[in-house]
Amino acid sequence: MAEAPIKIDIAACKGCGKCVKGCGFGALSMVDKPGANKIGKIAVVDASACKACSACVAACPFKAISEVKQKVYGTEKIESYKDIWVFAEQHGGTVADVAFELLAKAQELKAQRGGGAKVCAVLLGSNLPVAAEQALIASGADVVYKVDDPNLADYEANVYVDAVAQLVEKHRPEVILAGATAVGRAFFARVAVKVRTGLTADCTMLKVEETKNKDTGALQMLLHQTRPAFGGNIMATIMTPNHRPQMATVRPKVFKKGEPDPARKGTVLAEALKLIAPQTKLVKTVRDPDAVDIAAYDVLVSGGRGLKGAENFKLLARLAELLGGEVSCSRACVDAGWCPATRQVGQTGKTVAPKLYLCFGISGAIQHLEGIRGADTIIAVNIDPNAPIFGVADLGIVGDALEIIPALIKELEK
Amino acid sequence: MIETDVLIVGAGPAGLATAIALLRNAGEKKPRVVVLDKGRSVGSHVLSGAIVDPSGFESLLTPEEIEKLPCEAKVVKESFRSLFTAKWDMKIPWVPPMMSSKGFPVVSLTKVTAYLAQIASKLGAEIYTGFAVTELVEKDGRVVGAKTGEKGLGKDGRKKSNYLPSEEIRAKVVVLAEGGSGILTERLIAEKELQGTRPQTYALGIKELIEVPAGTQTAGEVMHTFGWPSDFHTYGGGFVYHVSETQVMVGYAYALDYRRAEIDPFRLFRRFKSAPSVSRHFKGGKTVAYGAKVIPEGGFYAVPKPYAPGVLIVGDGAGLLDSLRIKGVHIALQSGRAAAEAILANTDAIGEDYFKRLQATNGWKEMQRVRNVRASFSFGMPWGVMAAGLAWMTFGKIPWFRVPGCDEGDAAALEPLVRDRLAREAADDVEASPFQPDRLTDVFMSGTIHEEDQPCHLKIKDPAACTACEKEFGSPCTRFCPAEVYLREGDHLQIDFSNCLHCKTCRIKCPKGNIDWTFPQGGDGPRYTRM
Repeated sequence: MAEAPIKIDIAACKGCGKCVKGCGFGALSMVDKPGANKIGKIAVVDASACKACSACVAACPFKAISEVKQKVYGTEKIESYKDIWVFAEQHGGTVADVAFELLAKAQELKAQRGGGAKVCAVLLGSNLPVAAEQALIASGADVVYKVDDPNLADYEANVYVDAVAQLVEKHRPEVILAGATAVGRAFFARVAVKVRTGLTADCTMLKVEETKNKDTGALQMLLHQTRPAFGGNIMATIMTPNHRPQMATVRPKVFKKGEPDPARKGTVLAEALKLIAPQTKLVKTVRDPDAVDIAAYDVLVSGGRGLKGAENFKLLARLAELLGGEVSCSRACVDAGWCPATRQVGQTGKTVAPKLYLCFGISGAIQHLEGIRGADTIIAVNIDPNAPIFGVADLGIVGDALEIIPALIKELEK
Repeated sequence: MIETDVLIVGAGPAGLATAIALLRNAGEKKPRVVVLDKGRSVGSHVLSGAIVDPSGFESLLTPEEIEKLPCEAKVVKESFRSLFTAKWDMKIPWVPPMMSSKGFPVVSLTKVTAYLAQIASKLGAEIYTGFAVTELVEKDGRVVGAKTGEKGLGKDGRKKSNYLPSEEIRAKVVVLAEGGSGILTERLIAEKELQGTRPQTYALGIKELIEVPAGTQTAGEVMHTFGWPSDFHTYGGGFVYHVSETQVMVGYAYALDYRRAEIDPFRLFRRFKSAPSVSRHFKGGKTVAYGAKVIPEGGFYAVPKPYAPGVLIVGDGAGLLDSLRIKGVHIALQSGRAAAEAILANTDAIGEDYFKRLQATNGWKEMQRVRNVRASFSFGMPWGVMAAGLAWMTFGKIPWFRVPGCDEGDAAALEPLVRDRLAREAADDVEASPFQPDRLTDVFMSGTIHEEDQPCHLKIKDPAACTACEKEFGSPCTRFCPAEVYLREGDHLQIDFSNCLHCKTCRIKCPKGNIDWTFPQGGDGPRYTRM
């Protein structure tokens, strides 16, 4: 069992039990120990439940509990950590946009920090194209650490963690940023545990500022990691004064991408690491047809209550296929179970901005119109000439959607 | 688990008044005061007319603080009208003295509440919004705390990635300041048998904020109406408040003990706005905000015993409202103060002490004076008007007995639907215009929003009862809901809970008592900013 982050001085413990009340995680309990004090009980700590919050230290009136300053990887020679790293997530050799957004931010942080820090991108994968590293350099990376290893061909958290942890140990970055994507979220937390430092997820603001360390009193350049807390009611600024690196994730589209400069110069360092072998094998990639992101399409074919049944969505799907778009729907269709919620457009669904929005049998309540305000061209078909959808449509057809859709399909199939 | 001295459920005027009075009068050793509210921010779920009787602020706020109240205008000109039909009405030649509110501030209660929260926070109250308190914790018959609702549950009850478990808060005293038809309050009243002489009776208040062209209206002008479009048997009235030169608040309150199942209060509200004597107040205007809530107007005899071991009930939750003037804000503030004083006095019987202090407030005395007014109106308009006059002139001495009426509760008053009347009602609709938006557009302007991927918070206890209700009453929920939450789709009752305004009309008026209003995820619901 791991050593507990707190220590109880049995000689000083009076058995009052105040620490048990003070602990928010139920890690403390009282056990009988006749003769230890008047009450005959002492406090014991369950190391696995203790979160080192030190509330018990404050709760104990007899100063019998103290924090154990643990020797943690990365606490020594904090000065030796320097660079600002960005994890460059890639899929099939294409770097995710969030990495470019973070590179632009990293350049700002570098300017705030000074002291000759470099902005470095970490690129992991197998058979990585040269274009990926070039794109990273053009968008602000001074150095690209490239690990091209067959073990990294398919994403598996353990192997990625191993690679990043080895790089951290070798090059000692001061800050590492990653996108809060499905991949970033899953493996970055594990990296933080592996290198024994903190991690702030979903930051909305980042800056480097000279800050006084509360423990040592020394002035340090620290990364201020700001994120909403308590359901967005307050903004919490979190710092990592005693451990390195300082790690944070940021959701895509929070920061702005910079303009890439193809003339920018940078170094690519190919790292040959001895990585653990992946324990899983990717057999096949299957896309969930309902997990579609309708906001990404230029053409949306949308159906509403006027479609009268789930079977008519097949017609809509055919029409969408012919137009090179996707099927979306109004809320009534989700409620009726004709269409999955992932395809819903409107206030409680998705906000979309396609070039062409075709809607059939949608009356156009304001809750729906809110979701299509960004659409370039709206073509509406509805049986009711007074439907509000005609107020926003560029082209309106008064008629039964179920007659017009097959006619359109027929015409397009020619 | 969090421990505190006082836990206040609901950051409305009553709850915040409790917090302010507690911290202001505590002296050296300030108690820890935690206030929780289910709205996204303070005031999000607060709605009122409102011309506020300023007596509530006295000795709660300092004169400087009263000076800075976000008051939109002061009443400069008031009128009183009795409407008989859309076109035929009569201006009452003088404003009845008991109804006069000249010089009173016209406010947006949402803004006033946010202001009170600022003062309370400065004094040290901890106010957390976005957390619904869903359960009281009891130990040996005494309320010892409360639990907040879980957040981040999926439609099917699974825990999503943003799941937040329930949190228990222990407190020496819990103050329920939930407002009208509060869920925990009602549950407590039922469990501990605290009900007053008769059940609470409510009115549904619907309100819009209309922007009008500059230079057409005067700030501070107010008008109250009674009568049409309410029928003879139903207590109903409207108001028009000019809060500024360009903004008008228009509202309509309709008593929920109405009998005719075909009635749709929202439709009545639209009809009310179409009367020439009303619509001239917002000619050329455009609706910009909307909201609805219930008003507990049962008055004196409907007030429950407002305490139980470990818990006090303040404000609208305890039915503290002057049912003649339909004003409750000042009594809410006074009850909050009384609760705070009782908590600080810390006698063995805090509850009894609170009730005694509450009975000494002028708000309580007003309620006593007009105690028979609401019940008299249930016999028809003329009786009500007469009772109001008599009560006022004789300081509530006549009638000396309790007028029976409203004894059955609102839901029981509903009579079976007459289908051809329903068809006639539906045909008689008002033409759409910028100040006559349809119901869904209005709902949009309330800002209400609920995460769709969560369990539906409006639970039908027995679907068979809905089928029976459709036959007998024609699903009145599809009409009395001011937010189009309930829709009949063939045999099936569709519930669009994300439209919900948290007004709770459905749980009050459902003739089968078949709707269980539970709490949606904290932070969801309307987002009023200037209601």
